[in-house]
Amino acid sequence: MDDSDDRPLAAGDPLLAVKDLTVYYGKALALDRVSLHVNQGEIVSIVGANGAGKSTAIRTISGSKQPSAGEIWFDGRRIDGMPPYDVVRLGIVQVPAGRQIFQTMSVLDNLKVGAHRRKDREGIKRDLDSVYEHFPILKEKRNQAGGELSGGQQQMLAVGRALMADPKLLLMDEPSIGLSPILVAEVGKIIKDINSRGISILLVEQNARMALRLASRAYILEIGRIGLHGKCDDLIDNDEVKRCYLGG
Amino acid sequence: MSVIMQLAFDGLTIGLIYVILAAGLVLILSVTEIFFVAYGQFYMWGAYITWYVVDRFQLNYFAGLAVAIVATLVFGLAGYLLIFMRMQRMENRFLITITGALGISLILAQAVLVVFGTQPKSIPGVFTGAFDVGGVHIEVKKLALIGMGILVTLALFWIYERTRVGRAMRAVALNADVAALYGINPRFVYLLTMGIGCALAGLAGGLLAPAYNLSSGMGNNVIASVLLMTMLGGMDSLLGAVVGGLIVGQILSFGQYYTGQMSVVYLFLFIGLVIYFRPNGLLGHRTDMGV
Repeated sequence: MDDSDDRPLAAGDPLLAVKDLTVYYGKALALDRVSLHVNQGEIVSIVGANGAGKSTAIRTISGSKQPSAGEIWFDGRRIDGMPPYDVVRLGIVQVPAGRQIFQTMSVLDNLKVGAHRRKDREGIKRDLDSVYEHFPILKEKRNQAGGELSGGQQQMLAVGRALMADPKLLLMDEPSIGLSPILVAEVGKIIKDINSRGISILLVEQNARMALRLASRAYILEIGRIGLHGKCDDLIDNDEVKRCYLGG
Repeated sequence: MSVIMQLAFDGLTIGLIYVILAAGLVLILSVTEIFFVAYGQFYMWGAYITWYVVDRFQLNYFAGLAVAIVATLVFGLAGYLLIFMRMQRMENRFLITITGALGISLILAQAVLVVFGTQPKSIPGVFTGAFDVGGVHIEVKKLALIGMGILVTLALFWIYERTRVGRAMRAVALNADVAALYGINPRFVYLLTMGIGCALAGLAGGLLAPAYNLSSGMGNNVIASVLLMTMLGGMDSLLGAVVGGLIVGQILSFGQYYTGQMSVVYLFLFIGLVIYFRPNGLLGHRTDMGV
């Protein structure tokens, strides 16, 4: 890989910068000149209704979907057009919607897939211990098939698998979907905890209440465009946000 | 009683060839989702190449086996790079990859006639001798085949279940898009799997060569049986391939002794019945392959 065009991340530069990102699904415009950024150490949310383009944004940043225009910069390097298996090496790791764990593979193998591209055996071992420490149930069930875990445990496995890739930025696509309210709160705690270890997080959520409570800043996505954005404390008090996303 | 034991022994011998063949095809089917009907020809080519190296160059049998494995591996890699890689990106990839595989199958089947002629081949004298145990006539060449077959199967399981490459193959088989999110390049895994799968077919042919006669129709003859084995065991299960291969080996061994040509019909009926009650096969998980 040629690094000559890349510049080191200067102080004050965002970790992730998305500029005028435009994405089509066939002929349908999914994202229309979307710009957003995530600073080092931040939790940022993208909130929006079903079909607003939230998942498309995540999928395009991780490289699963190719944009037709715009730029994505990460850690001083332009990454749009890069395949997902290279993007992950830079430290952008996605926790996909619906958890998408490998159902018939053991819990341990699921976690090892997360570390596929890493060579640092010591670091992998340390991160595995750390995942087990945070989610003891995964250690207990490490030889069971991933599909045998409950929904909440599968979410832990999906997060654990992503942590095994040694992320700088975690992209979380609807982590609360299909979970009971108690588990949603649990996932919220996990996100805070991961963030406290220095990992930045871009969180996509239909559950606006959860997203705005966790994040420091948020972008409201309306049918492919960024509507409002700003500090979550301000957004929570915004009348339009209250009416549209927080149920009054 | 000794007849039954003899049939069981012979069924195990050919069964282990089937196990390796079915295992290779299961890898190709579950990982690449290409319905690879050319697979039988790689088996035939493996056998013929082994024969050629031993017969013409007077080289050691294991040298012939090694050449057969490398050659079929290279065929498989080339086939993927030249033909399937592009086809896999197409909208109608399921049908078009079958068509591609059919084309490869025809070419390889004809090429063997052109290169080696129509005379049946054999490699006598590699493993000689025989002994009787409890009325069962055990030829050393079959015993050698059984031993090597078991070793190959164990090695394959170790690679698939215990190594990084095997894990990547399993992950891509389950969900290539998600595997890519964690650093696995699905196209590289498809390429590798096609190479390994074809090399397993070549290896099976090479293992068969000292113990049985080779004919130019053996590739065509075996492909239907191998597809049936994978359906019986489950198209995404390596263990299923082992079970399927061993069962089919026994059915054909006993069937041919007691019912002659009808044995293939009974095989179809038996597997049809199993699939009727267990659509995923005995040990498989999914039926949506390639769709």
